[in-house]
Amino acid sequence: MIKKKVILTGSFGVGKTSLFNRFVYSKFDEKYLTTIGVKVDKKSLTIEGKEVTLLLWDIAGEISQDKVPNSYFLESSAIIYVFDLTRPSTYANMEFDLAHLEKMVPGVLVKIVANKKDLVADEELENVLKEVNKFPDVITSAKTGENVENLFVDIAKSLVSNAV
Amino acid sequence: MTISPENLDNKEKLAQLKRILLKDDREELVELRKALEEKEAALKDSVAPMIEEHIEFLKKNYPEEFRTAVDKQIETKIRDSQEELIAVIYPALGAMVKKYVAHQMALMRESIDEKINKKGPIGWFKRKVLGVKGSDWVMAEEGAPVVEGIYVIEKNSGILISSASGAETMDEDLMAGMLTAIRSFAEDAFMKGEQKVDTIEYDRLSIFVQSYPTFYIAVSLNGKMTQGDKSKLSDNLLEFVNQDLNRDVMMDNDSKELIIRKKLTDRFLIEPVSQSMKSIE
Ligand SMILES: Nc1nc2c(ncn2[C@@H]2O[C@H](COP(=O)(O)OP(=O)(O)OP(=O)(O)O)[C@@H](O)[C@H]2O)c(=O)[nH]1
Ligand SMILES: [Mg+2]
Repeated sequence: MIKKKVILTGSFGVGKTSLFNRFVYSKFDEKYLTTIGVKVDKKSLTIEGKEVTLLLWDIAGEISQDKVPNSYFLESSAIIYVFDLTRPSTYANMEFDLAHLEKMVPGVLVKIVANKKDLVADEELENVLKEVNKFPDVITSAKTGENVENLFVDIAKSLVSNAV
Repeated sequence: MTISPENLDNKEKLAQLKRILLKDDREELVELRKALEEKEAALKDSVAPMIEEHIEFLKKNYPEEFRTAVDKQIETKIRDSQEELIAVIYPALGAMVKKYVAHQMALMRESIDEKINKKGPIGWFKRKVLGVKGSDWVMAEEGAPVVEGIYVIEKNSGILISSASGAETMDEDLMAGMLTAIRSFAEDAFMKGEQKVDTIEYDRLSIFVQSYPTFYIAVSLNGKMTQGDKSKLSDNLLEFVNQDLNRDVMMDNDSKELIIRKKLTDRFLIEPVSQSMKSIE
């Protein structure tokens, strides 16, 4: 069985825990219960006949990624960097944050996720996408579930093909 | 370094923290921030701005519900998430939080005990006392530590390579992950390459941790460990690592987990009692 450590990180309140809960438990909560420290959970997927278990580390949000204890990142196979489409402060630091992540885990698979799509109109979305320094890999809504499964399944697929 | 529950001063601190945390209005939250800032220099840098930001965020997003949301949040955190709480306050509140870690482990133990008890008075297995073979365990002095479970965990990633334990406990993958997260945090935040936590103790439970270059081993024991026990277990583990484990963890084999489990079981844990268990051998 293949097991991989996958990190969810980004600023606070962007929806990391919500994405995690949507994916692992298929549920969504409007209430905001901030994560303290780290929460580890797992989900198994079958990809091309192989069982892959993702060990998901849902990390407490930080305004800047250099505030996250470095050791959390070590030996992770993928990092999901989440920002909130409705709050510019959550993507203002993106360049710096991504550079930091690359320094912590050179060559790691990073997925940039723009979350809370349900809260922005198309036009607004376009504007935000023009503003961000790096185009997101996936645009999600933890609330409606849009693209959430895809996000994790894509990661699992990449990790399986790398493992061969 | 050994973690043990014995600092009354810190108990008072904990009570104080709880009092502050559980107060129910917004000014009190600001006060909490002030109190924390004044009291804990280390907290000031990491937690205070976070609280600040959170307050701002909550103000904007939940003007009416602000108070109840925060109350609920804190209450729920205290009640349900001790281990997470540990992670964030660990560095600043040092010894006090070590107690929390220990307490968390104790809770885990209780749930293990509960499960064992459900399966019969002694559980399914007799366990070898550290290095003491076979039925000698019965003769072992009451209170001598007994191995409950043993976990081989990849360093840093926290991925469980294999494990063996005498009862179905909580999800072992998650236990390995959380244990690693706590260690990672502690290492980063306040140990900075110094001596690492090797034992976490509380009441009748110890978790003993030994690190090797690519993995670490966590052993949960029922009973307090003396220095002698520790060095015996440490020697025993090292021998096992050299003889078997170093090679086994390198295997690229779909039975790796099971092969290691079998060896761990034979060496550290179990004398199968029931027939069904015998048939595995
Ligand atoms: N409308 C909408 N709300 C969302 C979405 N994702 C998260 N939220 C809400 O945003 C708030 C914060 O979500 P969390 O998942 O707790 O955020 P987080 O990133 O885990 O936050 P921290 O743990 O503090 O770092 C909650 O009130 C969620 O209900 C989304 O896709 N759409
Ligand atoms: Mg969270």
